[in-house]
Amino acid sequence: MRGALQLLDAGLEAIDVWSNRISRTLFRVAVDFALPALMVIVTLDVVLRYVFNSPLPWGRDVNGVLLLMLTFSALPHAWDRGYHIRMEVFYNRLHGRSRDLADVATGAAGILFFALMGAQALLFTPYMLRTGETGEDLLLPIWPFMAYMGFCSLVLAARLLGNPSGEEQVGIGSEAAGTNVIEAEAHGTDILEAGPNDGTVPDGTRPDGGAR
Amino acid sequence: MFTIVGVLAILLLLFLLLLGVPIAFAMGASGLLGILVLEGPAAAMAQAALVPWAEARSFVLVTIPLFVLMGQLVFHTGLATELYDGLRAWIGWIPGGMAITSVLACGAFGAVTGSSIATVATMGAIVMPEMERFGYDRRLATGALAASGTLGILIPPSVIFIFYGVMTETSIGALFIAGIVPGILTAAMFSAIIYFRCLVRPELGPPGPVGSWRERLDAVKRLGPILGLFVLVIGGIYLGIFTPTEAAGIGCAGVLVAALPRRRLNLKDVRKALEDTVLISVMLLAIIIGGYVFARLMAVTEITEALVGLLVAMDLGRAGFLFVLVLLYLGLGAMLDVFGMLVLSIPFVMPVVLGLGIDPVWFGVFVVIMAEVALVTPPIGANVFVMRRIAPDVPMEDIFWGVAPFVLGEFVIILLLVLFPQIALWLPSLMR
Repeated sequence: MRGALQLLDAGLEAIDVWSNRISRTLFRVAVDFALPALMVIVTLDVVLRYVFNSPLPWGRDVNGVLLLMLTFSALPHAWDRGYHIRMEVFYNRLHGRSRDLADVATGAAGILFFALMGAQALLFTPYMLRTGETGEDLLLPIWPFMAYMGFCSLVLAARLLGNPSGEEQVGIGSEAAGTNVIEAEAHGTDILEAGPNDGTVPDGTRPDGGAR
Repeated sequence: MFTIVGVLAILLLLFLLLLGVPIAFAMGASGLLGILVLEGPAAAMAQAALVPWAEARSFVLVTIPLFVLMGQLVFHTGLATELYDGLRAWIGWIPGGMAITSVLACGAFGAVTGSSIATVATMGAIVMPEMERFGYDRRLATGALAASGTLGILIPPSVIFIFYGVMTETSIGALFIAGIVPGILTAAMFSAIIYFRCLVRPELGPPGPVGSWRERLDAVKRLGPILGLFVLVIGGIYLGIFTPTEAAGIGCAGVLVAALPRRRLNLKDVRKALEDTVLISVMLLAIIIGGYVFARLMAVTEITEALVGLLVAMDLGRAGFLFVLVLLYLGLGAMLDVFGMLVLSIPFVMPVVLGLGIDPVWFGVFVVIMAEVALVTPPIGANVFVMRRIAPDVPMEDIFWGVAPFVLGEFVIILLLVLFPQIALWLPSLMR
């Protein structure tokens, strides 16, 4: 029994370590590729339409795929960075076992949702491959993106196993801490990190000193 | 059977939310469980993949990351300081002038960021030391800043309007344009509150120095980039040149064009803006996906129709219904953030709104003003928390008291909006 528990523990540890590494790599795909590409293509499409009267015929298809990539690439890492909206009025007052219970409920709900999503997306993939499904305007097979969505969903389910509370993991993205501002509409009392911003105040001091 | 499962799913959703389960997970899981019970595992599995596959590729949703990116880029450029200096040269000398400047600067900054928290955090850090230097009453100063920050979500572009537009399939362009007049009206109302309070009690907000005409003319130049961006984005939508998604892309490019020659953005700032944008956008997109899964269950159970029937049978009328909604949003705002408020209420409220013949664009403005109230009222009052970080020596209680006159002003705006719906609908009716 004890050996089985140790094995389970080691298995969970491995899932945690590997899913964490993968989620960071996926996040870079969203930040360094999907979002910049989305901005460039949307802007380029408008410029080409008005300047050369020749919009990108595949623009919408590619933008859709890029948004899908952005969303699912970033979801696992966003979880580890504490970017999710929850009702914190009661949650923040929970301690000990009741807090653990809330975290178990969070993990169970999230895993149910994303593991089902991931599994079914991977099941759909061979079917889409067989039928040769493509985008509406861009004749590019879209099964790889369904597979990508499934893979990312399963990585998020794995992250939920590794970090069921969804609290920001120490050392993850710490370079970014303290400047999360726009998300605060969504963060209720978590917005106390709102912080540094632009330029100097009229008397010449940095405003972030006051904000922290 | 269908109704019972629908009611049980709603109760499960509420239980999970109270436990602190993230809204996206709670909606997705309770929606899938309901579909599993009613239609079996195959249907639940299929919906689990098909809903995100369809929704996460929607061109309309591209608006969210692009407008968030535009706001993030503006946030890092330092344009806010120029904006404040520019306005102060013109109106800083009147009673309560610094506070009125902050109201107008928040409105103008909100016109290019779309976020109330970004607005209050940015403007608060710039203006608060200035108001302290001139001996402003702390309640007035912090209250004015926290309340004015809310203009960020009413004056377009606004992330909340986009969120509402996506959820209700209402034209985001029309919503943006509808927010302009109520936004200006709210800014005027806040300015009048400050002015008359300072006129009666001058010690609350002493006048600042009178700027020379040269300073004032220089100031106009400083307002150029922000005004230019606003005209480009909102003017483009209004004239039908861009869709909101395209306007967002053009807006991002516009910020880069405005900031790069002035050396206001470096690579580090851009990377930071990209990272924050991705994290913020994903948080919102996840809720939308979870919300759509739950909406599928509601459609299957026809529970929404039952609720609508119940509300219509109560025969509250338009005014009575809106009064109930004000109470509902005050209650929801005490427990949930703005997005949570919308995602939980809109699927149930919207059919009644349409049934009563209320214009969905007008209702979007109404909901955003209620969200503004939630942002400055306890216990959540997100803007107040940000303000407290900026002015740590001012007790939270004082900031809430400082905000109170502006909340009353918001209610007057709501009343005007109910009595004269054209305040919101006039400009959209002129759109191409």
